Amino acid sequence: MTDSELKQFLERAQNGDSAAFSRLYDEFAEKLYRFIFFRVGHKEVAEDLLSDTFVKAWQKLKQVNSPAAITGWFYQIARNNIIDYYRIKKDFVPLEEVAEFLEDAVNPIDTINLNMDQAKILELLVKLPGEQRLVLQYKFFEDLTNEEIAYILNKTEGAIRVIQHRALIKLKDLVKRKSK
Amino acid sequence: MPNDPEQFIEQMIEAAKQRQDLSAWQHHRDRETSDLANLILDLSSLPRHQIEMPDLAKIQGRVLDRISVPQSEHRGIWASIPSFLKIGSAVFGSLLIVVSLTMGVAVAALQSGPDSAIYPLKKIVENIELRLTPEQEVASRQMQFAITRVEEIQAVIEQQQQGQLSNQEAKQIISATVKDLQKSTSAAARNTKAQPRSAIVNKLADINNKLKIASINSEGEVRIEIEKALQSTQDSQAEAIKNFEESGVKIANPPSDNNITASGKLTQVTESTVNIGTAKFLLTKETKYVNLSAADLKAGLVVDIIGQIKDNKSYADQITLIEPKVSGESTVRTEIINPEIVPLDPNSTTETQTAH
Repeated sequence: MTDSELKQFLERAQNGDSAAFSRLYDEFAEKLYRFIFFRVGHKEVAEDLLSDTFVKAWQKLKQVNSPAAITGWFYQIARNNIIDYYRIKKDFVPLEEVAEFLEDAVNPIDTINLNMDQAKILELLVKLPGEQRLVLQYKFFEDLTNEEIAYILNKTEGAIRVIQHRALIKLKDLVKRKSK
Repeated sequence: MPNDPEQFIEQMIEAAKQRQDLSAWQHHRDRETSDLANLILDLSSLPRHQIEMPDLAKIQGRVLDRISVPQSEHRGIWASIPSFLKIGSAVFGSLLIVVSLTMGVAVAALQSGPDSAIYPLKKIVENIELRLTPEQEVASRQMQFAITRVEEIQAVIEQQQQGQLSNQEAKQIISATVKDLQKSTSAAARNTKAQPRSAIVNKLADINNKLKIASINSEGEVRIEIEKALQSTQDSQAEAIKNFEESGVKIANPPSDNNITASGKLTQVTESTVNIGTAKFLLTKETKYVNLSAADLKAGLVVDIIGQIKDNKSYADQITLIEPKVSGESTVRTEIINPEIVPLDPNSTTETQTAH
C-alpha cells in the first residue's frame, strides 16, 4: 500500500467507513499476528488478541494524527492487549512487572539451522541489557522498523537508534572477546 | 566509523535487509566497520521459524461483525426508504412483535438473561426493533439496549456472587455482553454527530456510573471485562459531549469521575456497609442520614445514596430514606447527578434541557 493510499484509507476509516478499515486490516493483520503469536505462543489466543486489537483500533482510530503513525499505533494496541492477557493469566501482576511479558513466548528463530557465527551471536545476545536485547530482537527477528519499536517501547525513534547502536557495538565486542 | 555512527549502522542494516552487497563494508580496512558489517549480516540472515498463519479472512469477518452492528451508516436500503413507509413498516413490525409476544417463548426471551439458552432470540427481537426505529430515534434505542446490557451484567455479577455461576461462566457471559454494550454505546455516540441530544450524554454518564460500581464490586477476569466496557463507554461519552458542544451547546458541569449515586432497596446492611444489589457502599463517620438514623438502617428500606469513589472503593456520603414500606425492585438503579447543559449560542435551536 502506498503512502497516499494509506492516508486515504485512514481518513475514510476515521469517518466510519468499515470497508476502508478492512483495507488497513489487510495491510497490517499478518505482521501483527506474528508479533502477537510469538509473545503468547498460542494460535487461538493470538487470533482473539488480533481481533481485539483491530476492534480497539477502530474505536480509537480518531487518535491517529498522521498515516505515518498508524503502524506503530497498531503495535501499541497489540502490546497493551498482550499485557492485558498476561495480567489476567497471572492474576493481576503490577503494571511495572509486565514488560517481561513482551519477551517472546515462541522463539521466532529456527535455532536448529543456525551457522556457527549465528549460534554464537544468539548465545551472547542474552548478555545484553534488556532494552538493547529487545531492540535487536524486534529489528532482526521480526523485521520491525524503528518507528514501530519506538511505539512498542514507548520511546522516540532517536532513542531507539541510540540503543540499537550501543547494542550492536556491545554485541560486536562480546563476539570478539569470545573468539579470542 | 563516520561522524554519525547511528545513521551509518542504519544504512548497513537497511542494505543487509535488502540483500544488497555489503562486501565493501565487510572488507573495510577499519576493523570496527568490517566487524559490524559481518555482525549485521549474520543477524539479518538468521533463519526464521515458519509459523502457521490463521485464517485471516475469518478473523477479518469477526472484526467487521463486531465493529459494524448496529451502525447507522450501514443501514443500506433501509435508509433510503421514505419515512411514511418506514412508519408503515414499523406498525407492521410492531404487529409482528405483538403477535410474537403472545407466544410464550418470545415473552420469555425478552425477559431472559445472557446465560439463558433463548437469549439469542432477545437479540433478534432487539435487532428487528432497531431496524424499525425511525432514524431520529435510533440513538435513543441503542442507549436503551446499552442500559439493558448493563442490567444484565449486574444480574450476572449477582449470580456469580451467589454461586449460581462459576467465575469462568460469568467471565464468558460478561465478555460477550460487554461487546454488545460497546457496540451500542459507540453507535449511539456516533449518531449524536447528526443528532446531538443531551439525553444520550446523560444516559452514557449513567451507564458509566453503573459500570464503575459494578467494577468495584467485581474481581478477577470479570472486573477486567467491565473495565473494558467502562473505558469504551467513557470514550463514547467524550465523543457525544464533543458532538454536542460542536452543535453550539456546552455542558457546564461535565460528569465527575468520582461521584456516584444509587437508588433502590437495601439488600444487605452491616455495621460498616450497605448494599443495593451488587452495589456496595462503605459507611463512614462523615456519612449523613436524611429521614433516618444510622441505627435505622436495615434490609428492605428504599433509599437514595450519594457517594464517591476513592481508592477503588465506594463510600456513602449521604443516605436518604425514600420509602420504608415499598415493595420496590431489588435491582440496582443508579444515576449520576446529570450534567448541567447550557446553550453557547442563545439562538441555537439545539435541545438545551437535561433529559432523564
